[in-house]
Parts: sequence; structure tokens; C-alpha cells
Amino acid sequence: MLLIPCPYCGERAELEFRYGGEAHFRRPDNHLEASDESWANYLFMRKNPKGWHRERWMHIAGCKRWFYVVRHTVTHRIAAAYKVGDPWPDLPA
Amino acid sequence: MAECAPLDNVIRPGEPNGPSGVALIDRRFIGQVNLRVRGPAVAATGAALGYALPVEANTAVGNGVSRSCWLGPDEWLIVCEDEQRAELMQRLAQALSSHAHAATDVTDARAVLRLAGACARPVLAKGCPLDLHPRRLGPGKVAQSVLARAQIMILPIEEGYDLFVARSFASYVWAWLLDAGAEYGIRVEP
Amino acid sequence: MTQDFRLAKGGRVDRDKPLRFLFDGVAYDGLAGDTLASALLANGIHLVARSFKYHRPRGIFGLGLEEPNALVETGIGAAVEPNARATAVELADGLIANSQNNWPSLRFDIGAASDLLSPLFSAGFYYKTFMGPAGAWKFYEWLIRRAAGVGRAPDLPDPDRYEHSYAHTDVLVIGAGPAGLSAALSAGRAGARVLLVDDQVEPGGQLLNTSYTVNGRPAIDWVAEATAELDRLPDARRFARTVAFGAYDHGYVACVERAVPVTQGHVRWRERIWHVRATEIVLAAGAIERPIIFDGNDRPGTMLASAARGYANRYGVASGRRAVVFANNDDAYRSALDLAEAGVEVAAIVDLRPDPSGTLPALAREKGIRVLSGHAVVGTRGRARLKAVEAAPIDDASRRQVIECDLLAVSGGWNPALHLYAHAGGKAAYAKALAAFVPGTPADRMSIVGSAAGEFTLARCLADGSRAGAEAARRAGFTASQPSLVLDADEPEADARIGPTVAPSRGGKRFVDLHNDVTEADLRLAVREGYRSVEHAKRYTTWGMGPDQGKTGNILGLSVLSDALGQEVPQVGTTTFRPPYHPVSFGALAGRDTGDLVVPLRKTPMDSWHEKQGALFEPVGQWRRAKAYPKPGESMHHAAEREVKAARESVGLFDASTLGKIDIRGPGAAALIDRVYCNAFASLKPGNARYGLMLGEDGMLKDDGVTARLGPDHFHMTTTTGGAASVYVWIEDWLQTEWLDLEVYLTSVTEQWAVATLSGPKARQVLGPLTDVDLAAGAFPFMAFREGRVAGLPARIFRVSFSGDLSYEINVPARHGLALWEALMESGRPHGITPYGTEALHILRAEKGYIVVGHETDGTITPYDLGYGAMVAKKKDYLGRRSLTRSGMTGPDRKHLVGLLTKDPARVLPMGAQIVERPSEVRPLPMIGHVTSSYMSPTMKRGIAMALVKNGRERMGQTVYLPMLDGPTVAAEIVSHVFYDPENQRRDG
Repeated sequence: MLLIPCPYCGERAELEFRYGGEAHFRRPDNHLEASDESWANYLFMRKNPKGWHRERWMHIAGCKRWFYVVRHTVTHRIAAAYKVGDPWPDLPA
Repeated sequence: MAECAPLDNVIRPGEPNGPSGVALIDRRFIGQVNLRVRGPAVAATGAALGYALPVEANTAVGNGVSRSCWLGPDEWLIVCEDEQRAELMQRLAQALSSHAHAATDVTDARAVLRLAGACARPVLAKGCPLDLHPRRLGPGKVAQSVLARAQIMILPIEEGYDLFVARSFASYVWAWLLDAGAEYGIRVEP
Repeated sequence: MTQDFRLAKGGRVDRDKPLRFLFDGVAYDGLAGDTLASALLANGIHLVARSFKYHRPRGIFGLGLEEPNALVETGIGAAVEPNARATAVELADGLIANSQNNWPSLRFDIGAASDLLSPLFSAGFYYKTFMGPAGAWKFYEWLIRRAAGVGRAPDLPDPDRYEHSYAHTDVLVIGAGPAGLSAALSAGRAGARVLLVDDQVEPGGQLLNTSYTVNGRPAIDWVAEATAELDRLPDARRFARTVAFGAYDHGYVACVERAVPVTQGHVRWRERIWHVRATEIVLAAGAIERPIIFDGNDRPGTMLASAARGYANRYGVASGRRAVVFANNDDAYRSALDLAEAGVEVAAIVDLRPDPSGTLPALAREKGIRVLSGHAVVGTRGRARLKAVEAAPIDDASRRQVIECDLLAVSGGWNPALHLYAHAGGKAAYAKALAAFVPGTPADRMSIVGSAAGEFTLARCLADGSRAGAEAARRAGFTASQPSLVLDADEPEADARIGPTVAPSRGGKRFVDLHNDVTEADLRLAVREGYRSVEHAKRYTTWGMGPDQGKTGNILGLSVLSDALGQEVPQVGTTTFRPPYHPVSFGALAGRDTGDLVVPLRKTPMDSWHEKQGALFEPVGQWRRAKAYPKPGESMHHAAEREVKAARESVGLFDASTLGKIDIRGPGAAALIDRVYCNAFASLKPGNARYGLMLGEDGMLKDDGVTARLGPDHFHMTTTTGGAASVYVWIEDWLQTEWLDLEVYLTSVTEQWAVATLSGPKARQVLGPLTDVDLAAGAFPFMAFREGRVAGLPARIFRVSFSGDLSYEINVPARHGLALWEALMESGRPHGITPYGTEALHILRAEKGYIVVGHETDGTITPYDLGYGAMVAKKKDYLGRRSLTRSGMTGPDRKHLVGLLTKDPARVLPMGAQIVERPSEVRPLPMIGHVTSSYMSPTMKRGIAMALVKNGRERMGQTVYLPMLDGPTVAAEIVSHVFYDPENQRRDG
């Protein structure tokens, strides 16, 4: 069970959270005019990396905020958690 | 082999076992107003309440009339006596009339169960993943978390906790706490 | 029976507290402080089990959790616990234990015939032999499961309680031996919260089993002092009888505690799982002694040297009268010396090393113990009990000598217990000098000390433990200055050299994995047959795959593979340790998640009324909802039919409290609502409500519901019962991460409001007398919202309809839900008001052709598919809009919502039935759709169904076919899915 550092409430057990998948994938600008391909990319294509990953979590049993976590998908180490609008912390080497 | 009657292994609520046990109390109706405000409205709310809304995460501040519990960066649960809630709603509406806000009476949405006594902490620790050490969750603090399979808000009291649970989960949490507390001789108090 | 092998003195057993127990029906005596194993040995019992595959007689081999042989069944009836390690069962008065895996008895086991056939049962035997004919495996498996195996679980309900608790600590110390105890003490002195867990009854670790001294006094005195000091610290806790069985992410360690055995009645709880969250972990799990591979190495009477030493020192038990010690290292001499000190005759030390010459061999020789250096045990004699060993020089098996003995104490060196380190992500490194794996890469939040780190001297264990404890406390933020532990351990210097772990073979049976009966020959065969990867060889032979997880056999097997492959051990690799370190019972894992506490049962404010009426309930998510209110003797279907008729002809009352409700407020509220629904909402006026369709970004229907505008910036949104939480999360997601331009506040009010729905042509007559709201059709039309009082209660009334008839949804604060319900029932009595449940609700809405998200939709259905295209806004933007124009979202391949009427009106199609165009084609038939909802309609007096059919709207009037599992294919006509009042006259009147 992960210990997730909610940027608002502090470290909490994974039980309190809801996972939101990859972070920062961008909704195409002028999305109504977006090509089928770019729209499909936005809808369906995710990186699924082996290694460091920026991902979205919601503290559903706590402050109900969505935020971002930098997590390693192999070791599960968490390098950073940050709020919407915060500068993105660098990925660890 | 020792003899064993059919009910030997059933722990009876109220059976003295722990050092001073633990009590479970249904607090019936506790006035609750869910407040969502940002920016200058936070200070305006403080003026209406007579104290500043707590902006530090997981803290609760109050006076003789109400207690405001931090729920999130723009959300608080203001707790008061059931009889005070209409007046509280009115006062908030006045103070916030020129601010965007959402003050919602949610008194009926949650039950409040009080778990009191020396063994309240180990009982709660059976189903709540929070660190309940008094340094982390003592008076003046508040926390939202889960208890077994229900979401809860925990407001510590002198020796124990007030547990706020969604109304429809209340009977489940009540039964769960009675079962969890059996080991410590839990008793139901009025 | 007398305890003939109990030593006259010594041990930590309480000689004033005799305990009586039964093993295989025979009564024996033991002492308080014994384990079942030590008590059996005190009575001269070695043979306690039959082996897994060959049913060979097996004796007690180890001292603790590493035990591969002595698996027994404890308790009787429902409280039977199979596969308990006799070495880890605390003796209690009245304990009942039985051997397993034998018939008719332990001594005469028919299954042992398989030992004679053992050449057949080599590695891969099952794969090669039981191949066919098809289907025969089920029989073979039954046969094999009976023949091979371990204990049997009781089939009665478990009478015991099992608990779970969370525990938080700054420093978790695993293992209360010298390293762990000093780590816990120094962390505690620094002010950190400390938790010390240990699987034994009392702290001390190997100090309980050995004869070391600390500061010139017996080491066990230091243990007592250190423990007493730890217990005085306010924030230090100790869990005895607690096995840390798994290390997971971010300092999360799962432990299981077993209760103190009781002699009267039942224990209050039998086991407790501790979910420990630690900032720092000090792993001081110690080491497990390694056996040696030699011919006949499983003969009862053969045990680990450390175990024989432990039984003597800790339990005051001689495991035999005359012992041979088989060694490849100096520590075995300590065991030999301790055995001799306890009065066991040590006939010889057989040492694989050519020149054991350090202090300890010298001491042994001084004591007159014969040391056969450069020798190996090459055979054992005896059947159910060892009678003699055969020893010979390593290079000349012909010069065999027979040494009579009843105990063979084997020591092949020590393996650090790195299981939890591996769970935590550590990768071990091979230390050739120790012939063992030691910690390699760092593991998250974990430091490893003592013999778990490959440090085998007491002085290092104490010093390293103390330092690691202080450092862990410091990393956890505790820097208080503290007196350091000054400890002086005097111990004879040991020669660190380890000899080989494999003795020369003379063709006898040589076990690597005692538990799973895997021999050296099996592993070599696996390599010959091409299983060169360690993981493949493991699975092919089942080496290390038993409940003991290869605690004694893993490293031995690696050395065999290393030899067979001609590779060094590090190149061979290691198998992966996975949790649990030690088996955990299902009862413990389930905890109190049994009976009514398995899942929450959410109840509505009117639930008690439904229950009193004898309603049939059905689960909807975690809610329980009244499905129907059958009268005495009435079936559910008849009740639903009666309820539907009432709601159509007079008036019905429905508990709709479970609907999701979100209060939406703020200057951006109207814009938000317009963005999340695909139909127009901007034009909605305060006081009115509208049915909305919510799409995912993929354009598929996500949820639906009615939203009312309470004020310019204030909305009351309803969602489906199941969608309440996910819709809330979804909208918050957009508000928090994308639409920062909108100031809107959501508050979930699902639980705040109780909802009673009055439905039917008499609804107005029932509500009228109770309310101050003007119900006249002109004043309060369809899809309007009014606030007022009902039965004196503050109420919000929505004139919406899910049945197709006149209907009011009345919301009151939840505390008044029951009062509202009773008032409506009372007011409706003259009109024959009938409460109706979810079954009638579904029939009513299906007659009207209303969809239910999750029935008529499945995540692949657009509003156009449902025929709701006219509702979809053309001008505004909304979530999912772009997807509706993707290729594939229109055209003849889309499935459309249609109605189905079976040719036989009495026929009710099963939900989920597949639809085909022509029934006679060659199978598999192309499927063009499926039935989504289907009921016997009391109103239409025939079966009706809704279905999703490929290009269905273009097929109106066509006949399609539904092949049935249990009968002839059914024909049905495609029709409109609105069966009842398509002109909406009854709803809007």
C-alpha cells in the first residue's frame, strides 16, 4: 500500500485516494477543430513508462483535491507531489 | 481439554476487559454546515463566526458556538448545536452576501458517533490507516480518512473521538465499532 | 509418560508448571515455556511427520519458523489448524496435536510405498506421465492430491475471531535478537517511537539458544535489562509472537501476531494482522542455519546443529543421547560444545574442511571430542529413527566407519534471513567467503543489521544494532543526545572459513528441499532437460515452493545448480522471495471482514418502514433497496405487477433517496452545467428542471439525471444511484484542472435529502392536501421545481417522471424522510396508494422506453445510438462533443436502441440474449445486438424488451431471431422502444 504525499493533507495511505492515470496529457487547443488523429491521441494514447511517471491522484477520502505525483512505476518510489498550477518538479535521474 | 460452552467465544459488549474500556455514544443531531469559500470571503466568514477560519490543513478552531473544521483549501465543515444551525446559516448568508460562496446545511447528511475512553484509540486503529498518535491527531486537529469501508471525519476530543459518517453508512459503522470494541469491553452510553 | 530426555537443569522452561498434551492420541507431559517440538523431543519423539511426496518418515529438523518437516495439525473440530510447525506451536495445557499426511498411522503409512517407486516420481513426473487422454487430468489430480500433500483444512465455520490493526512508528525493528534489541533501545533512547516485533514468546533471539556472555554475565541477563529499559520508554512497543511476513511499499510492513494460548475456553482473538507503517525499518531478522547435502540426510534424528543446541540451552532438552556433529564451519563446534556441556555424548565432529584449526576446534579437542577432519557423512542408518551414521574421508569413500548415534547435528553455515529485504526491493549479493547471500543494493527505508547482514559475531551484532537504531532514529527526525550502549561480548574467535555444503555421494537419496521432497538428483535432471534458468528449475522441480519457501533448501539448491551448470552461484542467480515470509491463515487475512461487516449496507431514511412491511430487498451498489413489497403468499413478480398497476391506474409511492445529488453553486454554475451536459441548459430558468445527458470525453453516455435550477447561480443536480461518486469526481476534475475560469462550488447532498416519489394519476390528490404548493398543471407544470412545505416539513418538489405518468419527487431533510413517507401513505390511503419497489420501477420505465445507464448503455453508446440525437446541442461546446464526429461514430455499424416484441406475447426474453438476423446460418452466427431490458408488462399485457441492434432504427418492422440456450430460437419484431403513451399525454397532464 503506497503512502501518498497529498500536497494539502500530508502523507496518507493509498486507501484514501483515487487514481487518475497519466498527468499533463494535453487536450488539443481548438479541440473542436482537432484532427481525428490528435483527438484519438488525447483520448486513448498514454505513455505507460517503466520508470518515472507523472500521474494524477484525487484525495477522495480527504480534501477531494486532484494533484500530481512523480512516481517510479517499478520501485513505486515517490519523488514529488505537486498541486495544479505548480511548476513541474524535474524527474529524478 | 477444558470444557467449552457454545457461547464462550462470543464477546459480550459491556464485558469488562480493557483497563477502562471504551464507550460508544450516538450524538443524534449535530448541526453541520458545509462551507466553500475562497479569497476575501474567508476573512468575511471569520468575522461572522467570531474567529478566523483555520487555513492550516487538518486543524479545527472554534468558540462556544461553533467549531470550524478544515476539509480542504476552500472547504470547511462548521459544527454547532442542532438548534444553532438556522441562525448560523443566516449569519453566514448575511456576511457572505457579496461573495461567491456555498454554505450548505448538511446536518442530516451525517451521523456523529462518539468513541470515548482510554481504549478509543486502539479501537479506531483497527480500521483507520491514519497515525492516531496524540502528537498527530490530538485536540485542535481534525482529519478525514476511512474507517473500514466508510469515509469518516475524525474530530478528536479530550479522550476519544467524534466520528462523522455519512448517514447511510451509520448503521454499518455502528455495528463495526461495537464489534471492534468488544475486545475492550465496549459499552453503549446514552 | 516421563520426559526421559529432559535435562536435569537448565533451559528457560518452568519446571514448576507441567503441561499435559496429546500427540496422535497419546498423552505426554511438557513444561511451560516448551514448544510442541521441544516437548516431543523431551519425550524422545523425533518421528512426527510423513514427507510430502514419498511419505518418508521425518523428524523435527529445526527450532523455529524454518522447520521443513514437522508440520502437524493442532486443535479439534472447527478449531483445527493444519500445517502448524511443531517448532512454533507454543505448548499449552490440553493441547491436541496430530500428525498429517499418513494413513493408517504415522508409523505404518501405506503411502510410503511411493518411496519404493520413487525413481518414477522424479522432477517433471506429472508433466510427463499424466498427459492424456483429454479430461483424465481431473482424475489424476484427485489421485495426486490425495497421495501428496499436507494437512486438511476443517470444513466447519471458524469459531475464532481474527483482528486487524494499524500501527505507526518512527522505527520498526524486526527481530529481538542482540542486534534488534540494541537497535530498538538506541532508537528509543533517541526519543523515536519504536516498535520491536519478534516471532518468539520472549526477546533474545539466538541469545536464548546459545551460551554467550555480555559484559561478563550471561547474555540473557542483558536481554532482560535491555527489555526492561525499552518497556519503560513511553513511546516504545514490543510485539512478541509476531511474525513480520511481508515488507511492502513506503515502510509498510505486515505482521501477524498470535494470541497467548489459553487453557480455559477460547482465546479472545486468535491472530491479529498488524498493518505497520514505519518511517524507518531496521531488519534484524537473524540468520537460518543451512544443512548439508549428503546421502540419507532426512533420517529422523537428523537436525540442524543450531536446533540441537537450542533445544539443550533454551528448553533443557537433549535431542539424543549420543550425537555426531556434521560440520563445514567453526560455529558447529559451539553447538558441539554446548551439547557436551548439557551432557550429550558427542561421538564425533565430522568436518568437511581438511584443517579445522582455530580456537573452537581446539576447545572441542580439549574436551575430548573426536574431530574427523576432511571427512563427510556418507550415509545414515535406521528407519524411523537414526541409529548410526557412516563417515568417510572425502577423497576415499571406501574407508567408511560406522558411528553409532541417535542424533546427527548438521551445520553447513548460516544464511542471512533476507526475505523482507528482498520484499522491500533489495537485491542481495553473494558473499563467497560465507557461501551465502548478504544485502547488496539498498532497500527503501530499511537498514539490515546483525547476522541478517552476514555479521556473525555477537560483538558486531550489538555494536551494529546500536548504531543502526540511532541512525534510523536520526533519519526519522530524532536527534536527542543519548548514552550509547557499551557492550562487551566475550566469545572465542571463530574461523570464518566455510567448507563445501555438499558431501560426496554414494547414490543414496539426498534431499535439497525437505519440505517438497526435492532431491539433488531432481535438480540435476532439470538442468539436463534444459531448465537452465534458476526460476525454471525451481518451477520444474518445485524446489523452494513449499509453505516453508525454501528457508533451509534455497542456497543448497543454488550450489547444486551452480555445479550442474558449471557456473558460479552469482551467475546462476537467485529465486525471488515474495511475501509471505511465513504462511498466514485465511482467518487472519479476512480479519473481521465476515458476516454483516464484509461490506457496508447503506440504508435509506425510510429503510425501517420497508423492512417492517416485509419488503424484498436487492443490493444496488452498497445500497439495499426495496425490490417489491409482496403481500403474504404473493411472489415477487406478482407483487411487482400489482405495484405497476397501482402506479398506472391510481398512485404508487417509491423511495428514491439513493439518487445521487450534488448542490452546485457559484457565478460559474450555469456555464459548468452547460459544459457537462450535451443538451442545452443555458436556457433553463430558475424554478425549472431538465433531463440531462452527460458524456465522457469519448462521446459515450456516462450518466444521466435531472438538474433543477434553484436560482441564477444555484443548481440541484441528480445523478444515477451508482454514478453519484464518479460524477462528483469527474466534475471536480474539470473544475480543478481545466476550467480554472469558473468559480463553482460542489457539495454532495445525496445523504442530506430523503426522496419519496409519488407516481400515478392520483398523485395530485394525494399530495394536494399535504402541501402549500399550488399543484395545478398550469401553476406547476411537468419539469418544474417548487419549494414549500409537505406535511409541515420543508420540502423541495420536482415534477419529473420516470414512469411516464404524473409524478412528483419530494425531497425533505433526511431526518424527516420516514415522517414524509408515512404522511404520504396516510394521505394516499383513500386512493389505494401502493408502495412500489425497484422491480416495478424498472417495468414502468421500460414500458415508457426510458433508459437506465448500465442497462441500455455500456460505455460504447452515444446519444445518437439511443435516438436522443434531437436533444444534442448543435451550437454550444460540451464534454465529448469532438468525439461525436469521429469516424465510426455514425453509420450503419452503430447499434441503435429499439424495442422488441416477441411473436409470442407471453414470452419474456432473457436480458443479455443475443440477436441474429437469420437463425439457420452456419455457426457461429453473426450477432447484431442484444437485449438490454426485458419484462412482462402488466400495462401492455405482454412481454416487452429493449435492445441495442446494429442499424436498428432502419430495421423497424423486421423480424430478428434470438437463439436460446435452453430451447428453440425465438422470433421478435423490431419496434419503437416507447411502448406506453408515446404522446406523453399522461406524463404532462
